[in-house]
Amino acid sequence: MKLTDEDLALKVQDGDKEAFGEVIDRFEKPLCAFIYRMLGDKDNCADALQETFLKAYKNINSFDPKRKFSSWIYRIAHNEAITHYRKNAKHVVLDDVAEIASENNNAETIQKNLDLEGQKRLLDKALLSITLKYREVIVFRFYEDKSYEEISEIMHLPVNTVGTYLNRGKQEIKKHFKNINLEEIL
Amino acid sequence: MSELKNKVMGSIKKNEVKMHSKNFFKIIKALTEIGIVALTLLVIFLINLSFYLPRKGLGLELGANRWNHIISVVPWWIVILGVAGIGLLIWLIYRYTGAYKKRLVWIIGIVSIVIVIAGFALSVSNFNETVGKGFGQMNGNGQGNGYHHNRD
Repeated sequence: MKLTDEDLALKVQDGDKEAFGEVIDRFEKPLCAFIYRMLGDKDNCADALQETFLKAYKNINSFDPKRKFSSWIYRIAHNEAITHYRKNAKHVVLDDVAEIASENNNAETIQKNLDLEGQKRLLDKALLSITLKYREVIVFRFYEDKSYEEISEIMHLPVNTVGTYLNRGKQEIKKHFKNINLEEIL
Repeated sequence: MSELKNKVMGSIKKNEVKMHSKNFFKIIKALTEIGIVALTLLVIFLINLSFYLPRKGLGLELGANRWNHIISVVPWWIVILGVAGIGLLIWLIYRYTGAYKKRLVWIIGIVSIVIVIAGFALSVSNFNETVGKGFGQMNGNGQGNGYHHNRD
C-alpha cells in the first residue's frame, strides 16, 4: 500500500534518508510547476526548487504529522520563490499580450487566432505581470487546485484575504485581457 | 533519477546537509514562547510607567499651563519604547503563533488594547510603590522612591 505523504515524512524524521528520495519524486513536478509560474524563469526555478528540498530535509523535524505535509512543503517553496523573486526582481514585458490586446481588441478574434495552448501561454504571461501575492493565490487555486484553507495555511493569510487576493488578481488579469472573457480562459 | 534528486540526495548522503533534531525545534519553540511572555510583561511594565510617572509628576498645576505641564512630565522615551515593544510583540505573535489566520488589524487591536488596559491597571495598583520601595531599600535610603519623578 502506498504511504501517505505524512507517513513518508515520519519515516524521514525517523532517519530513513531514502524515504526523502520518495518525497522528491512526489513533489518535484508540482513544486517545479508552482515555482516556475511564480518566477517565470527556469534557472531561478531550479535553484529555488533545490533549496526547497534541502530546507525541507533540514527542517523535517519541525513538521507536525497531524497536519498536511503538502501544505508544509509548499510553504517552504513559497518562501524560496519569494526570496528568489526579490533577488532577481525584473519586470516581464508582455509584448505579445499587449500587441494582441491592442490590435485585436475583441475576444472572438483572439480566440480564433489562438488555440487552447496559445491561450494558456497568454495567461501564463499575463500572470507574470500581476502583483506577486495575487499571482500566487491564482496559481494555487487554479493551477494547483488548492482549497482556500490550504492556501491560507501555505501563505499564512486569513481565509477571507485569500478570497480578496483572488478577486484582485482576476481583476489585474482582466485589465490585460480587456475584452476577453476571463471565465472561459480560467 | 532526475538531476535535482541526484544533487539533493547526494548532499544528504554525504552529510553536507544535516537534519535539525526534534529537540532543536522544541528549544526554538520554548525560547519563542518565553520571549513572547517576557516581552509582554516588559511592555505592560513600560505602559504602566507611561501612565504612572506623569500622574506622579503632575502636581496641582492648573489653567493654561496644565497641558504644557502634562506634556513636559510624560516620559516620552518610555512611551516610545512601549509602543515599539507593542509593535514587536504583534509581529512575534503574528509570525510565530498561527495568529495569521485572523486579520492583522484584529491582532493589532486586541494586543494593543489588552496591553494598555493591563498597563493602566498596573499603574493604579500599588505595584509601583511596592517596587519603588524595594528599589529604595536596595539603594539603602529606605525611601522607596526608586524610579519616581521628583515632584519638588
